[in-house]
Amino acid sequence: MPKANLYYQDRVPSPLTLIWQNFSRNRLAMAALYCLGLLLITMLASHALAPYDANQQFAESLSVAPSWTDAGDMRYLFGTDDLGRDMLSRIIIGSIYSFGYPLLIVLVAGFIGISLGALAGMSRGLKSSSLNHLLDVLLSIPSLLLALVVIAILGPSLENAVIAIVLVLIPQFLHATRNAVRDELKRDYVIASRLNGVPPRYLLWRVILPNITPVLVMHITLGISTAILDIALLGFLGLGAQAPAPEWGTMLARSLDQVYVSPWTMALPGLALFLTILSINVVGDSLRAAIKARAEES
Amino acid sequence: MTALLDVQALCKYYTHKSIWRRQRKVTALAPVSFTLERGETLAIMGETSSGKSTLAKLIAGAENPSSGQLFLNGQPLQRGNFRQRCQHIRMVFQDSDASLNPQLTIGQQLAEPLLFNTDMNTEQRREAIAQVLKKVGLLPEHASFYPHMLATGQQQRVSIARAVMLDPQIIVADEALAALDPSVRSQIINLLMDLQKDMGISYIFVSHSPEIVKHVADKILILHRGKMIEFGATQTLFEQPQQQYTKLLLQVPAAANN
Repeated sequence: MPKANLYYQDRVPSPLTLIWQNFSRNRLAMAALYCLGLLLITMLASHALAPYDANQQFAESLSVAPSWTDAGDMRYLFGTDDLGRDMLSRIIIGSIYSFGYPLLIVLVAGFIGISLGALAGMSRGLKSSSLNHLLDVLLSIPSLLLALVVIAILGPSLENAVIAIVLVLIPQFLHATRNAVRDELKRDYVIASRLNGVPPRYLLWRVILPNITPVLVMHITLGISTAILDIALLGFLGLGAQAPAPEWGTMLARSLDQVYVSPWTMALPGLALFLTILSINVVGDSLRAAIKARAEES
Repeated sequence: MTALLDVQALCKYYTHKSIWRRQRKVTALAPVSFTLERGETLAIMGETSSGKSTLAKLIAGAENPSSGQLFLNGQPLQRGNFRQRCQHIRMVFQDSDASLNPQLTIGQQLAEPLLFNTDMNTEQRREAIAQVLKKVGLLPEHASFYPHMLATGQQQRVSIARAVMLDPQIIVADEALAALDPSVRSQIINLLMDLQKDMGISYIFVSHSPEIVKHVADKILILHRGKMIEFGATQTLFEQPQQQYTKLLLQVPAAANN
């Protein structure tokens, strides 16, 4: 029997719950979210899920077509590449490079950028301005070019690509956070809180941060898709992850030679990249829409 | 005996910094001095951009004055010291919706001033919030509501509850009644006057409605382009205004007269 208590609602839905209700009503957004969740689980459990090692070569089965074609082999679900490596294992393990690393990048860049931005937003004068423009020089160069410069100095490797992309993303987070905090500080409810005599720390954590989460969420999703594309692109150019690593961009670059012989070696990593970015953008977009709809409802 | 609030030559100007031209000084409020006694109601009137909101904000501490001082019971109020000020002077904003944090429940917002200005524990705070909510005509259950679930009148009551939370001596209301419809407005006015009777609060109203001012105010201060042009008892100002401007400002519309 359901709860007999008809008249008293135990918990009033919080603004966050309302946003979730709005979001979950959108089918496409939920599909994208499940897609991302699946990808995340795959990434975390990649070594347990992959049927073979990413670099294990099967000399007797080179360039085997995917299993759903006539020439396919059930042992290799997605087929093999020209060196006889199982494509499925490579794509699953590649998710660490192409999805895990970007997440890590955004986590680090977001943490540094948002805390510096909050600091710059809450302080005034020279301190605020110097914090704000600390990394502005980086913004004057396109992100990919900057990554190339960093790699030219440090040498091509995945670690250096990660460092370069983190550096590029920090000022974006910093500016977005600072501007959001500045806008919020002018609002009546923040002034009211200040007149309540609350210390700045409480003002930032309890009053301002919950109200700028929409902006931050937007920038974090944008940051993740930028980071994924940049890692893949640097890998494709041979400047990021190096050849045997099953990074999706690197795999795409390798497959260029045999695109007519074995098109699946190009299509499958490309498809993985496409689905990942699409679902992140759809989730980000729907989240933004849900937050906006919630703000307009009240 | 010293007055409750003694405002001495309070003024505010903004400087527009520019690289190309000389700094331009814009005076929002020329030096203003007046006093307010305990339990009195002062109305600040004037046309748009006459500096009345600026004066209210300066008194409440939301903005810092360019010069001049405020004395409360003979004690100077330090600028930027919100803890000292919020024990005695509180503010009610015009837009009740914008002045409440959409992410916190009413209870959490009302607990804010208690959290940092008293040493009550959680249980005492809840008790105090329930009492204040009852005092302003809401239910203790409203503490778990979020601001967007309340009507405008109820939101304004919450703002008033927040203002009386610390038993202040002065409440500054910046056009607090303008956004409300007439029936809710009269309810809120009655609520404010009941609170005044119970707690001996002094009010500083910023308003442009002569009817309300006539009804509630003991003294009126008229501002014109940032200057105080007249200050006196309500009766005097309504009957024998010295300035033409005052006379025009205080004209009660014919419909409200009968």
